[in-house]
Amino acid sequence: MISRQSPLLFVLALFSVLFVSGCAVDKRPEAYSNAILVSSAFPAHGSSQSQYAALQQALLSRNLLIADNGEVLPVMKGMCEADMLYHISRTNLPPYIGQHQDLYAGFYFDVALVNGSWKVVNTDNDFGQFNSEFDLALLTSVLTPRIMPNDTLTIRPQPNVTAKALGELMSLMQSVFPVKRTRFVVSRKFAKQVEQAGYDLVLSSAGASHLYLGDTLSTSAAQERTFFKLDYTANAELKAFAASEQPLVACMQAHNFVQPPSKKFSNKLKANDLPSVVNVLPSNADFNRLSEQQRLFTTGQYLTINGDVLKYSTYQKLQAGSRCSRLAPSDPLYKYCEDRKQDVSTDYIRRKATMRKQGN
Amino acid sequence: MLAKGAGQLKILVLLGLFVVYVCLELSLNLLLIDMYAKPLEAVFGEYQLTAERLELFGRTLSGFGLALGIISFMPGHLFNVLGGAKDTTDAQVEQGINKLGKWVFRPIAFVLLWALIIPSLRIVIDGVVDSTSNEKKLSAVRAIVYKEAYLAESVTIEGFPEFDEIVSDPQRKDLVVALIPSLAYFSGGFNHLIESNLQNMADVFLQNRQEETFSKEALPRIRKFDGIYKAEWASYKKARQDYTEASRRENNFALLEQERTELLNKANERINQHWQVYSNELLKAEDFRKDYAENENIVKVYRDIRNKYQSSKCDRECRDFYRAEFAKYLNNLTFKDGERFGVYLQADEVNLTKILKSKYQLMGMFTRGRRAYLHRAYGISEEMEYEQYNQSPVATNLAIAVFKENAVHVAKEWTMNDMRALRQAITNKYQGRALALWVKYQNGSSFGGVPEKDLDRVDFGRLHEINVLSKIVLGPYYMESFTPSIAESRYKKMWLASQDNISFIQMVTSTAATAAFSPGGSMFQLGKDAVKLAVIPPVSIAASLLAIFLLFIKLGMYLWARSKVYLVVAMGLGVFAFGIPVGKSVMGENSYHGMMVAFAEEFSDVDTFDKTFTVGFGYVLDLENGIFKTYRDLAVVDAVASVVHKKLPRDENGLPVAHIETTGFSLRSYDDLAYSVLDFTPEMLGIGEVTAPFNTNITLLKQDMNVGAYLGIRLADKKVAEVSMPNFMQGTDIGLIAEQRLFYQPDWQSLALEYVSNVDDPSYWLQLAQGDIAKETLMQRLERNMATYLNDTPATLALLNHLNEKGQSNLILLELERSKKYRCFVLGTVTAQMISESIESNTIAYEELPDCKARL
Repeated sequence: MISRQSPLLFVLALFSVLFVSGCAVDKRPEAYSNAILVSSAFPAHGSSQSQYAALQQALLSRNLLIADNGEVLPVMKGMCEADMLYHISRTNLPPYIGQHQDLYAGFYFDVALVNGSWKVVNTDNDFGQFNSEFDLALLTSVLTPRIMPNDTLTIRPQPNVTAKALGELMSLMQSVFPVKRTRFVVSRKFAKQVEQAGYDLVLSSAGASHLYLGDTLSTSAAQERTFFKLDYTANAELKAFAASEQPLVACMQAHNFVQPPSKKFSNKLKANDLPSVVNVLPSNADFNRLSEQQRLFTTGQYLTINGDVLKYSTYQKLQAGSRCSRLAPSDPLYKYCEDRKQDVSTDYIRRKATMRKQGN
Repeated sequence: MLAKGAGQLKILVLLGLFVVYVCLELSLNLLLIDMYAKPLEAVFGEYQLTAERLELFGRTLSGFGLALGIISFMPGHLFNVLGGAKDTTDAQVEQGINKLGKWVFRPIAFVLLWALIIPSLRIVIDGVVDSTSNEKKLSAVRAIVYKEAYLAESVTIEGFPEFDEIVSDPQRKDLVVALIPSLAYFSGGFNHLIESNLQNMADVFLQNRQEETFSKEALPRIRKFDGIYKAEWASYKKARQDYTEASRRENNFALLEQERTELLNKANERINQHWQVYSNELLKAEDFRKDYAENENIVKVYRDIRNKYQSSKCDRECRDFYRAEFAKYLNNLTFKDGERFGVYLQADEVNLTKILKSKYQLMGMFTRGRRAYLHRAYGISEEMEYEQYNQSPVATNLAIAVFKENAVHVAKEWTMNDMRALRQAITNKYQGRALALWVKYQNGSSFGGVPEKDLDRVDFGRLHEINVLSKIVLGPYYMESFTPSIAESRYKKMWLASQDNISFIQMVTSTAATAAFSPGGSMFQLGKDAVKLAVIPPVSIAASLLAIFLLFIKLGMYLWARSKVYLVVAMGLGVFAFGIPVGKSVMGENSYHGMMVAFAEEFSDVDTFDKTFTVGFGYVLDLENGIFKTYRDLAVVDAVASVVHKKLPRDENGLPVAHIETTGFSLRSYDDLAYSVLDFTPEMLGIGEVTAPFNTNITLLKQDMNVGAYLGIRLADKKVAEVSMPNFMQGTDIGLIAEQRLFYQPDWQSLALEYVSNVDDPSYWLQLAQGDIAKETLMQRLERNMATYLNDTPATLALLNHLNEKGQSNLILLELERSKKYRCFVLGTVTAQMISESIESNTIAYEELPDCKARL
């Protein structure tokens, strides 16, 4: 078709085409790169110090990690299956506070009115005696640089607080911390006051429809405060707990999240470096006393979270066999391990009555 | 010659009639055996009408024989009612009877006598039965119990296996079963043997029944429970394991990190791929759909629009419209398979000039449209470079989409550095999976499962839910001691121990029961039935045998005078028909008399009469056996049987309905009429008194299940009007004391209670006998005061009234351990049928009253 046209016309046409369509566009890059950085990062409260590198990897595989101060912590928030709050009773906070967004859901503290001003105090679950109080202002200065916007503050004023004093406390807390959520632990009579002030309510004793503070029996040395909610079947469900000294134990008490060991202990294992020990420690071991675990390892023993020294072999036996394999046949519970003896026939054959001559 | 011929004819007719009669008697005899060899349940149930008809047939036949006998032994002259006796010249006249007397009055007298005998026999039997002492009635009940147990092969006599052999041999069983009650009834030794073993028999029967119930009812339930339990445990075990695994997956940082890395790599790949495709397509934009620039359709549309556009009438607005029109056309162009044409042309990019050929114009527009299309489709602006793109929301959105494809949902505002949110999103993906597994298990469980996720087998077996399940599955067979593992035999033992041991047999055969056979007592009917059943069948059988025998003699005497030839023939036939079979039977290896001699040696060794009777019984058995064996299948017997047999009428559901009596004349209606007319005679003769039944009969069972007392109660105006406490110690010394006017006891209430509890303790009676200052007998006083006492016990009185209204007349009170409280059971009318029911099956309908307040 083109060949039949004059060459001039062809050139004109070609130019016209170029004019109307423009030049070819090449946007191919010289090299492709990753848009998102893929790194084996772990949560912020974990230590990235090189001395911990190998240990950190071993711990991570067990859902644990080590902080800069050498403390072993749960790797992530969700592990405990309940919110973990940091219980403030002192002004010196652990170094990982400030990088706790993957560990703690917020803070908890008890406050009391001392000489007309509100102070953070150290007291028991029942708010009996209290001591080592310090000013709220001091707490503000310590906490403000470390607090996260998503943190929840849970504040318990003393139980015999007046409505007026509570009102003052709430207005005092209004602008102190840059957090989205603040909760007050009060008795039901103050419920309305707290909610009207725009705060969340936590009841100071068991009650339906709200989170409530658990009684002393539900607490432990690690879980210093507990918070429950009743579900639709009136089952108390642990929703949160406050811990300070032993967050790992507290979290394990809520839910044993430590993954089973990747290696089985045997006497042939020679390597007793920390990562190797971490790899064989059972799920109920105390991971915060690794040097002791290392020492016990050589004797075939380990330290449990409850402080007992147990043999690895005992643990393995417990894991391997059921209770039925351990119960003695004389044990009253042993019968539940057996299948019913089907020793009665379904077709019953009648017996004949025998008539006997009796002595006259 | 003629007279001789007439005589012979007469003899032949007589012989014929004789044969017919013998056949009928024989049939009756054999049918009686057939009937009474059946269990009582059948006699009173299915064969009730047949039994009644057989009885009537028997009476009619016996009546005939009896009437004939009486008439023929009567002096002939008694029938010469209308004179003419002097007319003795007639040689034919014998024994002073005239023709009229012989052919008219004698037959009339015979028929009348026959007709009278039929109902009279019934009255005599009833009278005899009524006048039978309570103790004899008790003996009869025992005899019946033995017969039923023997028939059911539920009893064996130690050291006497012959009986067992007979009952398991269908050839010999019927005869012995039908006749054994009479031996048991008449032979004191045998009756004593039964009596002394009844406790044991009752226990065995009861236990048989209970064990059978356990095997048939409880055991399938236990096994059903086991099936459910095993399945539930297996499903729980699996759910537990699945849950643990899923739960570990949910909270596993290493896996979480692995997935995060994978997702990020995928996202990066997608982002780069996106750019790669985009840039490649862009590069190829110039050649895009080149061929279609010559497509006829497109070119045609283009030219049409261009022509309209080029029209002189088309102003600026019109031109804009056509440009937009063509852009719209091109942008919306799709292929047949739905694929878009793939260009996006702005209206102002549309070239509708005529500078170049439409082909080139179109090609140009395709290229520009394609580029615009790509920018739009890939979300990348014309100016954007790769480096910019990599950090742009386009890339972020691609990453979010990749996450979403993998069920990881991050917020729209997610940024590429936000690993926390990504981790959280991955955690959320797995969160709840374990729980969902658990919910699935719970939904699949027959009892809704349990929330606990760490139970082992021991804990599982002890769950409350399992306990509830076992209660539901076992129903009435559940006891506290039931566990998922208790051995069946052990549970059976416990269950048996927990059962009510009320034994019907023990109740009706207790020595204390004698009293209840008194008129009006709870077992009055039972006693009558028992006597009839024990006495009538063997007597009838023996009577029919006797009738046949006597008739032979009579015939022999008659023929002796007339024709020796016929005599020889008849007797020969008789010997052939009866003598040989009987002889064979007596001489036979399995002869009954031999066995009965041995039996008598063993069990009837005290009383000579007893011994003789027992041995005689053996000979009768032999005799019967000969006949029975030979003729049981005779056609005549079958014919009679089919006439006599009448099915019990049943409704469409197979339930028996009341028999409707035919209104027309029948032997039965005549019999009933005559019976009611002649009813007065026994009373006149002083045998058998008729007492109205009590409103309620109370049987008190003591803790050891022995009968404590029977009370007959009459109610009037909802109050106890009269209490009758039959003195069941009658005949013994102690009973005698009770009957004497010896006692006076002011505290009658405690006396009444003591009486109930200590009734079989002789020392109690002797103690009472010491203070003899009474004005009336103990029995009278007890009866009177018991009435007052019951009226003062409102709960018990209410119960009695309630039962009376419901028409339930038998109340059984079972004393609870060490208390004056009772458990209450009601029982229908006590009949002989219940004896076979309580031996054979498990259907004695004791009905426990749930809220019984009886206290004494």
